Amino acid sequence: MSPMNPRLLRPTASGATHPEARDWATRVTANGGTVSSTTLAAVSKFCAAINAAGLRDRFYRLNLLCGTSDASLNAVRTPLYVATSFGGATVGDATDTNVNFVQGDYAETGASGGLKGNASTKRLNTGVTFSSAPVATISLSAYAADMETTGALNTNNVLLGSLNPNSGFQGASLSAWWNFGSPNGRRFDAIGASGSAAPLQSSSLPSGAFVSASNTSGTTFAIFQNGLEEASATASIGTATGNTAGQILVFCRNSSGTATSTFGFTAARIRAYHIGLTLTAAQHLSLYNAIHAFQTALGRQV
Amino acid sequence: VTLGDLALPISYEDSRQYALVLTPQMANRLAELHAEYGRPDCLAVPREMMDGRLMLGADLLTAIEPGGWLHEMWEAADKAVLNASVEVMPWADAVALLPPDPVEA
Repeated sequence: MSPMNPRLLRPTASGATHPEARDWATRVTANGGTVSSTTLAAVSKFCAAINAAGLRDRFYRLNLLCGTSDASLNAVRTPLYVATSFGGATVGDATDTNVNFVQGDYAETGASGGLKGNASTKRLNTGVTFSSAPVATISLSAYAADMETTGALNTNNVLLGSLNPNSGFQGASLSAWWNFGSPNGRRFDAIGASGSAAPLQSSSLPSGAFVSASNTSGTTFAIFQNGLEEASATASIGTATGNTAGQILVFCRNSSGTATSTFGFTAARIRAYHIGLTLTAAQHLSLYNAIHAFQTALGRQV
Repeated sequence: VTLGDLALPISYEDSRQYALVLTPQMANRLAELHAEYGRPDCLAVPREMMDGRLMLGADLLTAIEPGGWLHEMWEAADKAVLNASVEVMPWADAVALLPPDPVEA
């Protein structure tokens, strides 16, 4: 009997790929996009890292903003996670809706990798509202380069969020830059009908970083950069009854509860974002480690 | 300067120097074209400026070529009307006419 060919014992490429990564690639293809084997392998490693860290159920939605560039940005608009479990009920829209982006705004890899905002008109609409992602337990993040680090009074450059100025700014948002008077800087807002866990501001302002913020436990909220906590506050904020229908936008914030009312655009080059549930400080660090490793695999780490 | 003065096709780099400025009537026509020929997941949505007109980035003109997500809408549009009615303005000038953010506490 001849010895078995070692290649038969090796897992196939398909078998080695994480099932959620395979599912994402299938959805990209169905949406008209394509995924390289290199990217699929990186996404698969990311999925494995998220599962190993016990984070999978923390995400309503997570988009690594990757996939081969195409004219309609079909790949980059297909989120990896759209539910808190694989195959669970979709939160928000199945894909991100493109508003005003063109193919030239996106590169998958390298220093210009990511989707580039223009601080004026371009955004993605996730379709996620605070009805399905309550502000009292929310988490938000963005891995981005070219973030604003300065700006005149009354300027706001939002990475993602929705705040309704007609109801005391109820909602949540994560800003690269916020300046409506001192102190100004990088900022997280989580505002409900009962109170506000704001302002949570970070004094360090790298142009490229993984910015994340959340409810961390109970009524405590905190903002992090590259997985490290920079500020925290405690408040019982309740629900955002004054902003239940405002869809969370990326590259700006929804304002007044309709998807077409927008303010606070950013010119950042965003390389990943998530909308999720309560994350502890340790989980913020684990998420940073997983996302940073993914970005490094695509040569676009900050 | 109007859209008719721009040489098309235009490169991404060149197009980013300009904004397309629309009257409310032209913006309504854009919405009608989108409803009939556009994609539900790719939208050209202008922002209203302080003078009542609306603006879009001219880089959207890179999406009107075959295969681009605006191609069908572009093909269905009345080019003579578009070329004469859509004003082309330097990008920075148009951005300066956008309204300020609502003041936050």
